[in-house]
Amino acid sequence: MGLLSDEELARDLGLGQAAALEALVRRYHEPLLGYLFRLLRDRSVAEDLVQETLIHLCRGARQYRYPSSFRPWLYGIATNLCRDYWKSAHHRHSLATLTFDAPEALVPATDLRSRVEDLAAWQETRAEVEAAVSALPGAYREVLVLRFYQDLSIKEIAETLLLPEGTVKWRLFESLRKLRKNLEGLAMDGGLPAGERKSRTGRGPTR
Amino acid sequence: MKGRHGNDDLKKAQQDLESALGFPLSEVGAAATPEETAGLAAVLMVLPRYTAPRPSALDTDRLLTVLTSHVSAGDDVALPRTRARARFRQTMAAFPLTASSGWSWLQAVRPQLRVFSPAFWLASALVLLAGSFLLYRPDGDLVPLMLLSPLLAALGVAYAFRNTDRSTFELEATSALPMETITLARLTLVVAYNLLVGLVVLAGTALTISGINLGMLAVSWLATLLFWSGLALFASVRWGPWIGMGLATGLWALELVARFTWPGLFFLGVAQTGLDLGVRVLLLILGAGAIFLAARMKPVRGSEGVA
Repeated sequence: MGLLSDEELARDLGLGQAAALEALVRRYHEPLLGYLFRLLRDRSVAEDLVQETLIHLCRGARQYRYPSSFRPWLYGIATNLCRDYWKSAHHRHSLATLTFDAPEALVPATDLRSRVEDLAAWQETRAEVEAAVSALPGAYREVLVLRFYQDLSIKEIAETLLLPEGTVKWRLFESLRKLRKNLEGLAMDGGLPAGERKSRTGRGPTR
Repeated sequence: MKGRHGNDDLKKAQQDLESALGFPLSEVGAAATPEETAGLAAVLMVLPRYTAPRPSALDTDRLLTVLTSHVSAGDDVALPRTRARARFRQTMAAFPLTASSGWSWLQAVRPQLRVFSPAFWLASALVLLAGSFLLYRPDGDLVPLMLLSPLLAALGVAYAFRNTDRSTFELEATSALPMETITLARLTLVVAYNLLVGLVVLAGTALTISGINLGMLAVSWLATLLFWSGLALFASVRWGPWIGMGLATGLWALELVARFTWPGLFFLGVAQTGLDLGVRVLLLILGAGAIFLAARMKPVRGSEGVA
């Protein structure tokens, strides 16, 4: 017997089944934290918003209409909460003083076993990519994170953000272009992060 | 041959890019050059480097407990906020004590207000008022006031750094603001408050003792307090809080001992009523200067100044 789909679990949650809530939380705690963290760059706030997203999910479960897609609904809640946070006075106040989680805490466990030099290079590249992604305007960052980190389809992203698919595609492509520009701006010698400069096709960056 | 390989690479890069995007580039009318296509494909390769934190199983269990309680109890359950911790750190980080920040470190005083309960302020005032009354000397000697103010300031600082609970200590320890700055902020609060209450007592003293010039009294007392506070602040910023506190307290103790044993060495005449305006003004200037210098310096951090 296979696992229940997200949609089936959401339906069961609406019917008041506690097991459905547990299954959904165990399935989506990490993806939601990753999504919100990449949008906010602040683990504490991301954790709070994960909690609030799931509270909203519980509250709205009765209104869920099976079998409509679950992930756009869930990420839509998270995105709206995130946008509310961006608008908040607290966020504006904290922008200038934002501190980041220590990179070592975010390195995949497998890399901890590798050599120190590899670890340092990983952290350097990670910091560069994080800075480049974070420098994207919110609208572009949302689609980029949803597509490349949360693995949502174009259709799901469109449903999540309530946008036409064409707009999502255009924003996605533009986000990559902007990201490339940001990465080139970060690397003084005009390339991508250190680890990836060699992987390019041998031509210089275009501007 | 080389060109053919190059074309193959570009073709593969485009395929990778379109596969990752989930649509052909032609759909967005993107006129990407081969170089740009290759560049964008390379960007895709570095994206996985941006890892995100992973919640532990314990984190998920904790979240589930909160959610389950919330769902079963309705909206009345107060949700735990990790954001409060972040807000604390960000608030503290908003007031860096650096050489270039000038007087901005004084802003760190405001967040510290929450450390003191109203009972503390009330008790301080009562102790100072009651102590001044009990030690009242009809001859106009200001020793009671001079003794009580630093004593209350010391007690106040001790109160501010009492071991409240582990979470408070952890917040302070992990704050972006150095502990020294927190120390100074609290010290400033306590001294400023005692200064205010002391002024009230001073006014009362001047009213009850005939022949005392209130203006001269205020200058005398303020000059002394400012001098010692300034010295403590300067030494704390320059060499660390413990040296600052020790220096000020030690000199203060010497001053008191000298008053009763070697009056000739009672160089500042702090607790005397025979006022020498020149000395008082000099103390005022020195105190203000010490505070000014302290505010322009970068304080030593915990590892440097405190064992």
